[in-house]
Amino acid sequence: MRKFLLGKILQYAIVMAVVVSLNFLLPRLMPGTPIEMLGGEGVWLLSQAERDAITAKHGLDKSLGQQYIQYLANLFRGELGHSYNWGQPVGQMIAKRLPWTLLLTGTALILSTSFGILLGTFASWRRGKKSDILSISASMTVSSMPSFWLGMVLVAIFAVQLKLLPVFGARSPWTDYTGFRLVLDVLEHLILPVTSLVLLTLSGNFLLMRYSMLDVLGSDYVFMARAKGMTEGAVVYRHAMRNALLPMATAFMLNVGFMFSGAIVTETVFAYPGVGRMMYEAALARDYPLLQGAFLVISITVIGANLLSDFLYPLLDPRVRRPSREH
Amino acid sequence: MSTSRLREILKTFRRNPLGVVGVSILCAFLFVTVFADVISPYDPYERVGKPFEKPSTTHLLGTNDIGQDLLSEMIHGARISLGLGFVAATIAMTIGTVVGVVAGYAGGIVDTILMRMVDIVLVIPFLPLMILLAALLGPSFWNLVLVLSVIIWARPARVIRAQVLSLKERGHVVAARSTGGTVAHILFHHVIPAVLPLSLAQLILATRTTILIEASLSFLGLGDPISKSWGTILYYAQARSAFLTGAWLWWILPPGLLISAAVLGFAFTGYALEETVNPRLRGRR
Amino acid sequence: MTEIGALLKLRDVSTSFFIDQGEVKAVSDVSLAVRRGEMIGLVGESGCGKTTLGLSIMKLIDAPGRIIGGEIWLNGVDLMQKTEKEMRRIRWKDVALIPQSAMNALNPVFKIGQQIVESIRAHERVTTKAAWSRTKELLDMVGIKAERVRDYPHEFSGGMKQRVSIAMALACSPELLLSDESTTGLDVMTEAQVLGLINELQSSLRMAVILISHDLPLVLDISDSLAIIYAGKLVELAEAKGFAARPVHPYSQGLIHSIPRIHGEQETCESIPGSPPDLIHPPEGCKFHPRCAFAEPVCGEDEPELLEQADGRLAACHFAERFGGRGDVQS
Repeated sequence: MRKFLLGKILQYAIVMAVVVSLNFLLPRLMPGTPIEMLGGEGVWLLSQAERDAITAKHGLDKSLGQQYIQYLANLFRGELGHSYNWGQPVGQMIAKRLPWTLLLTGTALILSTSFGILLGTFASWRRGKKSDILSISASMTVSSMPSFWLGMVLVAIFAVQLKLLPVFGARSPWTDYTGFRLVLDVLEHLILPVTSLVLLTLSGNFLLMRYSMLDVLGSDYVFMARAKGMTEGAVVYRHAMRNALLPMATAFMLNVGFMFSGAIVTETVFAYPGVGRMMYEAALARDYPLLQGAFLVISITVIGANLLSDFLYPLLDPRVRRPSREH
Repeated sequence: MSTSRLREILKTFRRNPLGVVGVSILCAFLFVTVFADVISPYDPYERVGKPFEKPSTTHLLGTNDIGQDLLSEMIHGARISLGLGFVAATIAMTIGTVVGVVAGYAGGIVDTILMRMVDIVLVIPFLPLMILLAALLGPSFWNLVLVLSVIIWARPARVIRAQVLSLKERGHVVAARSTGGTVAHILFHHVIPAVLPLSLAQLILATRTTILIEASLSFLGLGDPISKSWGTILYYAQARSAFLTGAWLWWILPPGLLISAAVLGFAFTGYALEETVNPRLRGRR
Repeated sequence: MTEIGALLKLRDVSTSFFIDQGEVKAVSDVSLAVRRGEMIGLVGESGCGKTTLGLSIMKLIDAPGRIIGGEIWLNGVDLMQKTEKEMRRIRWKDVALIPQSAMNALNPVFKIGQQIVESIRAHERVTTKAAWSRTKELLDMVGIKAERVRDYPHEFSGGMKQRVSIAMALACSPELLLSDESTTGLDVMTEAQVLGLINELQSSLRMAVILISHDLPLVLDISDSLAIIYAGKLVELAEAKGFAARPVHPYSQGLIHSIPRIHGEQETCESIPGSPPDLIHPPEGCKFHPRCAFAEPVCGEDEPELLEQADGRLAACHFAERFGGRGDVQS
């Protein structure tokens, strides 16, 4: 168990190092001059003195090794640079946006996983040739739709045509709701983006749960639970589902990364004020410090979520928690 | 791969309803791609009408913000979207197959290092990394291909490696190894031919992913603005707020449906093919 | 072999599986009686329907399978008349099972104690505490230290897991115990130990045990009687004592001869030639005749009935008398 977790920590530490190094190296290795990458496209409009200041700040006149050390030192101080367009510290800008993204992806993740489990369990129960082909093709069809396009269609139908829900944003502008009214307002704005994110991952969760459940329902221990005269509920929920959930836990981790990727396009469609939309704006404006900062923060969040899941997984599976003594 | 094995695969494949539907969809798209110039009513790069025209007999799906025919744009978009997706997936699969075969066959430290790399690529959130790369490289067809293939190879590499590991234990490969066949001989005569059908299935499934991601990147304005893919059409539709007007019906709905249909075609074909060449998966349905 | 006062009586039980290719007649018209405290060996090759017969007794046949006819009397009650809900109460309380593959029969995510306790509490109104203490006694009975009650299945070896399965089967003191190939997959030493344990518990607890096995020599010594099954039909039913010397049915002879004779001169282990028949399109006449060394034309036309022989045993062979069972030709 200890070895398992130490191994995981090491693995994620390596990923972290790769992400940080990529962030450092990419702008310096790209075609063009590093000063343009680090100073923005408008850098040539600046005076020579200002350009020299940028060169000195990033240590572009020093060796790559020295630059890397300086870069790491800045990072440890939480110094992610300043946005070209806004002039504000990147760290602060991200901190303001991150909660919205976490709210959006977290809600979508929980809903997608729960619905996937429920629907998958139900489908495995109602097994039959016709309903199988139907449910598989339906879920594959949904997963073939680009999530941003689904978002646009949802907006066009539910927000613009039917006027049931707000078109964009995370809160109604020019209002100062508080308390319950505020929560309601935030929830209203959350429905459509969450729906398009849920649809992005739901079919994968559904198919996995269904397959996993079918696998478990055919297992000897589920048969034994029936032979023991356990009730149908105890057989399905206690014995079968508990085991069928194990692969879902792994899928959950993969989905975290997936959700953050989906959040970028979804937030863009819905003009949702999260890190994803900020990354999109930064990419369009070629605001490299902001872009890199957002990439770094999203990566850290995803790696952190993965590490957390890996720490929680042994609670679900005793075989990992207490490796065998006999073998 | 022997012809009898090929025939057997074809026979099993034909009995799979999903596979037949998938291949039919792909054939339809192939036709559109090849004959795009003949089918499309206008040159998609010419201004042939007034901006924001509604669908009419002259412009079946209306016109865009600068008066180009939307239907023609979508027909030509198939070339860019499918072509780019396919090229990127092919490159990714070549990398994936090589990595998978080498890791699985060599084993030991080589395997550990390669699989660690796969793990790393799989953990890093792919779209943010692609956006970063695409933004730094600048928008162009080949830059997009590069960005896509750099990320997509990891998952197939893992699948291929597992297949190679199980192949290594099979009779004829064990026999060839114990009788002192050279590594190159074993790889090219026994391992790679046996892995190819699975690679092909993975290639088709990877194309599905690359088409979707290309659409996302182009939608975000990181694609090649000159050669218009379906994602690019949607980017302009979004930029001109088409979903706030009735135009969403002909400007937003059709390109998305085309993307979905193409992706579905690849998904059905890939799944059916995977099931055909990998009998262990057949119980999955 | 008398049916009077029998614990379990099967009358013409038939179970089939309905698959795309047709109806697989896994068990057809089996009648059998098991006395209280009797140990009966149910023997046949794999795929002959012995496991299906065993599971039919518990009515644990799933779609596409179905018990298509017959009566299953347990303790004077016909289980065929019971609903699934009523069966749930009977399972484990009256008839329990030691499964084929103990390796996978225990749920990996629950402690073995929890799995035994839940089977007790599913059938008896006892406190959790009482159930746990009985669980410890049961483990002790099968030779597992009571403190391991909180261990998970993966922490036990194969033989130990099989002991846990036995303890679990005994949880509600059933009168009838089915042991379905429960030693297959264990090494020879462990197999002997586990079988010895079942034998020991059977006599001390006065349970009836149906020992399902493909290995006739293995169950021969500890069984009171033997039921030989071929292609879903009983072909011979006899006392175990002296059976090895005088098996009547040619199939039984074949099963006996599969024993490797270490001391025998020139005699080698011979297995029965051919393979078990297709149960969708079984052969006409005696199902065994295509593989039978003594088959005559009549064997391919008429199916022999299971008839009582002079020495009290039952055999289904046209030429039973030739093989020592002085046949009764009238039907």
